[in-house]
Amino acid sequence: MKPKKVVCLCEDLTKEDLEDAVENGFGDLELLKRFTGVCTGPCQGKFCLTNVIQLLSEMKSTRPELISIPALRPPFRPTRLALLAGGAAEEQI
Amino acid sequence: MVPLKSKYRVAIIGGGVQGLSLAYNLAKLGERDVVVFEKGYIGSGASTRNGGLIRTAWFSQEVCTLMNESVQVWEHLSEELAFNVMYTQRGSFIVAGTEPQMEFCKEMVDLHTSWGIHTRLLDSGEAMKLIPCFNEREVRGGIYDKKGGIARHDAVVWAYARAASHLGVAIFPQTEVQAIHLEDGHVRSVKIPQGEVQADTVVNAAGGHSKHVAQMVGVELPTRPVRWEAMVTEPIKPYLNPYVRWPKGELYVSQTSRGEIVAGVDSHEASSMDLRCSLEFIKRVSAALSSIFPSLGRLALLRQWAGLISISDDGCPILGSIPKVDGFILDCGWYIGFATAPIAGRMLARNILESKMPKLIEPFRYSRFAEGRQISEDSNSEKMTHLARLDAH
Repeated sequence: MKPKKVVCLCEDLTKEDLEDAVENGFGDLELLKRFTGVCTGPCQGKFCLTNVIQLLSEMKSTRPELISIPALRPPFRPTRLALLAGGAAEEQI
Repeated sequence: MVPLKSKYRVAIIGGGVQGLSLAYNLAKLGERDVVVFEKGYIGSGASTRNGGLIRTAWFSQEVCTLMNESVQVWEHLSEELAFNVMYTQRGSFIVAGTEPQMEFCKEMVDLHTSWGIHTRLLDSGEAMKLIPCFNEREVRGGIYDKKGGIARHDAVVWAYARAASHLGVAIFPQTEVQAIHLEDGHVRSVKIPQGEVQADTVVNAAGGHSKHVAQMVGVELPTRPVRWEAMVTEPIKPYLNPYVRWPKGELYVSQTSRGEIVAGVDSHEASSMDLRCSLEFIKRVSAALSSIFPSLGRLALLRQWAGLISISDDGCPILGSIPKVDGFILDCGWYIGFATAPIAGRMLARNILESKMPKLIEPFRYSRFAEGRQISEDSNSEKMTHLARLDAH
């Protein structure tokens, strides 16, 4: 079996999957996120975002800090609905 | 990417689902000299921030008819655009929790039937059979719309963009229109960072920014931008099939094909261009979700976001030409814009090419406000609020 280079563990995306998406015109990270699901799993990009930036900077031959990142969305970590529904104190959320 | 020309027949401002559907339909009808200017990435506004909901059951004949015609396009859209938009016709259900609400729903179903919309009144047993995860105490029955469904909003935007490009439409993302120039009361050109681009027809399909774009030609639209928020949970196995609207909790919710629960509650904010997320919102949605679907309490919220919709004075879209500014076409005032984009693009393309308003969108003309022919003020969102308030009886 061919070894896989996994970039995003939540959505099971390999380097190849992301390269295909970029070649199909989804190279803007906002679009890449929506097309492949990278950064949208339970980690919300905490594990995969740096990998993706590295990959894009290599593909575009540009410095990593020049890759614009997608908007960061709350909450910081997955939060149970019951906790929010119960009107928990804000600092606990 | 195609090179930018100095002149086009039609320039569309806004590369969202409405602007792209219009561009595609213009090209399909033979007008391929079309350019789309999008300020951000394509679909970056409300088009990819909405809940992806499609339905036919609404509160006025004009809107129901438009939605019903749109569903007929949705049913073959993936085929037509050669791109899977992940459309599933899983039905939609509006919950009634009290007897007065049931009576109201019955009246609505009778109206729908008289308009040719196929909805059905379900009693509590039928509703529980349809959606077993409901909290039974909150459900007396409701309106079932078997033509309702969902589609993947991003895929729809890409499908239209791709199909339009194949037909020769030029699409320029990250290109903001900064001004529109007129000559003798006719649009002449739009100004973008690269310079002036001439156009015979300029279309305002700028969504939450459409009021601002109309001001560029001195027109004050009777609309206001409003922040609308949404949220998504972690994915779970198939749990909820139809799209559910629960008026008491002001909630709308569906489960995507990926398994995530996507939900929102109505916004009561005044005019706003604010795109920040609020804690208040996720508290409201979580409370509503765990009341109507108690087993969802243990589910984790993954992400929340906000988008802008544009609400007109009668809650309905504003389409077509306006007096005094020849060549300026409105495709604005959408908050049912995702569900109706397939039909609206088709009808507006005909309006532009034939200079005649198709009957289906004629009620949504701009001049209705001056003529006093607004679509009955309390016909849309107001009726939903009314439905929720019947609860107090």
